[in-house]
Amino acid sequence: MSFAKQNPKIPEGINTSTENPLKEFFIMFGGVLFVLGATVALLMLFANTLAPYIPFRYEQQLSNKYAEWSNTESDQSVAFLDAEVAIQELGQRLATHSDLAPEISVQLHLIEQADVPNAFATLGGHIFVTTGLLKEVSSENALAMVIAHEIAHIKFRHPAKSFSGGLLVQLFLSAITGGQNAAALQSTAQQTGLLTMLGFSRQMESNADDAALNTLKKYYGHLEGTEEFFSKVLAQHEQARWQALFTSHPDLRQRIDHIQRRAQQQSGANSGDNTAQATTPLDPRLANFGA
Amino acid sequence: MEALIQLGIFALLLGLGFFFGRRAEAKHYQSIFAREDELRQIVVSTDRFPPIEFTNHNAQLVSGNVVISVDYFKRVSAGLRALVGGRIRSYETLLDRARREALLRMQEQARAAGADAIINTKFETSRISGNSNKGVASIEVLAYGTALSPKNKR
Repeated sequence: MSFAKQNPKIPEGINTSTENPLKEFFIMFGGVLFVLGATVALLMLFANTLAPYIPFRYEQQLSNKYAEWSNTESDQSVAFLDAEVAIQELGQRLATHSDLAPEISVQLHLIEQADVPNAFATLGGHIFVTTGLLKEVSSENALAMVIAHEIAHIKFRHPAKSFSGGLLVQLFLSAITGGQNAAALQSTAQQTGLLTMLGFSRQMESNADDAALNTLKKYYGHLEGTEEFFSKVLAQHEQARWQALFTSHPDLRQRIDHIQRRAQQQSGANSGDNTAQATTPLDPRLANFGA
Repeated sequence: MEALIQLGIFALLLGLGFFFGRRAEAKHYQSIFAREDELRQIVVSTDRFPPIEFTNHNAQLVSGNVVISVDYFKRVSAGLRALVGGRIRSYETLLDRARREALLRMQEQARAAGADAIINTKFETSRISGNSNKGVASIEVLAYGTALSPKNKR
């Protein structure tokens, strides 16, 4: 065997492959996304099924600080405190007509946010109503619709479902990413525990709407004025269609249509006494506050 | 919204990594092919002892090294591979380029020394990744061998 006179030409494609790396990438990416998505869906289902069995007092213990937090803000005006009391009274009256489980109770709080008409329910039966919402409604019925909707969320344990679902998913994600998301997990737990609006699914919102209408039907005997707040919001924002896809609240128009349909069915059922269907005026403590 | 921005940045980095990484790779391979042809006369072998016709030559250490960095796309692709297992094709081309480039640099050094052949060629690799796993990894490939050059140049 003699020494080579020159280096041989090595054939290409033995140590490397000429396949487009994008193809490999998308196959892997799609596969991993699919498995992740399926696992997350499974975990959410798990949480939704089991969360209602968590005793309500655990939720209350978790969220006791809201009550303290709300009480310590003593520098509020008398009108604000009066309005909060009025809201609480209305909430308690509605709660007695909401078929709540015996261990569940609701607590209402007013928060000073004049430019945001909003209300949300969170862990432990706490419901927050912004002062901006009081300005938006003209009758007690419209306000009651919003509050009854939030009470229905509490009734169906939606905050517990969405909190435990979110926590499970975060735990899962941080487990597979090797603990790099531990900080994210902590902050999520804190944020979700605090006053962030919990994300409810469209199904949850529809259920809450239905239950709220049932409550109002029992409480007032009719459904007049219930859609007012929602139609006002629609008129103000004119939600774009694509936006509706991403928000968890079902398209407002659909919700209003649904509420109106129910109201019409209702008025058709007892068409004998149309005169009884008048909206109740807003409690003066609330009405004066808005002005 | 924040999540969307993060997703956008991720996609942008991925796209940039893919586009520039792929372009650099294609250009690099072109240059490797051309220089391999050019340096074909400087025979590289792994023999430990000089062949009989080279016993009268001068021996000298020659080396070539290259440091090469992973692009974002390759890194993400390899990260996915780490979940499912299998050949990391995107790293294979990277290391192939690095080894061949190191050999070429060694051959250039040998040519500058007037050598005909290099024996006892060996490779070393080492990883340069900063102080954590988070930085983009880069590796060094070092090729070294004994260059044999004729004693009396005529």
